[in-house]
Amino acid sequence: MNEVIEILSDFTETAPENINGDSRLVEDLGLTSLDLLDVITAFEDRFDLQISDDDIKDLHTVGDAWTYIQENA
Amino acid sequence: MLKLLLFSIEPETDDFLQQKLKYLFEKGTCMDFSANRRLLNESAACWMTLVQELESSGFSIPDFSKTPSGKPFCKGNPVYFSVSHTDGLGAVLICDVPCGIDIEPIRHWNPKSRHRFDCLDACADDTLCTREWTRREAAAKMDDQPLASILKKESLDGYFFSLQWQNAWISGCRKE
Repeated sequence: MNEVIEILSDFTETAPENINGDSRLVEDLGLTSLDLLDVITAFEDRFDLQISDDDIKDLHTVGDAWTYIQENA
Repeated sequence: MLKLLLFSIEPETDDFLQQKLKYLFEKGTCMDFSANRRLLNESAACWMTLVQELESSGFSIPDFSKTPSGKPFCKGNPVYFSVSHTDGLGAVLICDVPCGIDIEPIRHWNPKSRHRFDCLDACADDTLCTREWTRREAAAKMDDQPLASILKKESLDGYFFSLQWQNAWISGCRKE
C-alpha cells in the first residue's frame, strides 16, 4: 500500500505517515473531484491498469483504492 | 428563490474552530468531520454561513440529514442547499428547488485526465475545461448522482450559471 500512499501524499498536503488504509480520499486527504481524476490517472500509469469511470465512485478510502489495484492490476 | 453566498475562509484558532463546531453540532448539522484541519475549517465556515443565512431569512433551522450517497439535505425539503469549498474559498447556494454548486481553482490539466474528461468543445483550454468540470460537478450534486454518470453527457438538465472569482470557477445549477 506504500506506493498508493506515496502517490496520494504527492497530491495532497498530507505526509505519508499520516495516511493509512482508513484515510478517506475526499474528507481526510482533501482531494477534490478534479484531484481525484488526476490521482486515478496516476494510479493507472503507476500500476498499468484501467479504472473505469463507474468504478471511481466506489473508491472512498485509501484501502478501497489499494484493494481495487490489487484485484485489477 | 436562489441565493448565492461567496466568501473567503480564513484559518481559525483552535479555540474558535472548536466553538464553531460545537455550535454546528448543537444546530444538528451533518457536516463531515475531517482529520484535515484546513478542510474542517472550510467545511465549518460553509455550514456556519448556511445556518446563519437560513436563520436570518426567517427559516427555523431544519433537521438535516444525508442521502445514502452522502448528500446533505433538509428533512421535508423546506429549502434546498448545496455547499462547496476549496483553498480558502467557500460557496453556499440556497434554493426552493434542488440545486448544486461547485468551486474549483483554475488549474493546468494533466493531458490524460483531460482526455478522460473529453467533453466536446467545452474544453478548449484549461480555463474552460475547469469551468465545464464545475458545471458537471454542480449538476451531479443537484441530482445526487455520482460524477461519473454525467462525465460524458452531451447536455445537462437545469438552469446553470458560472462565474470566475479569485482564480477559481464557480458553477451552480437549479432544477428547471
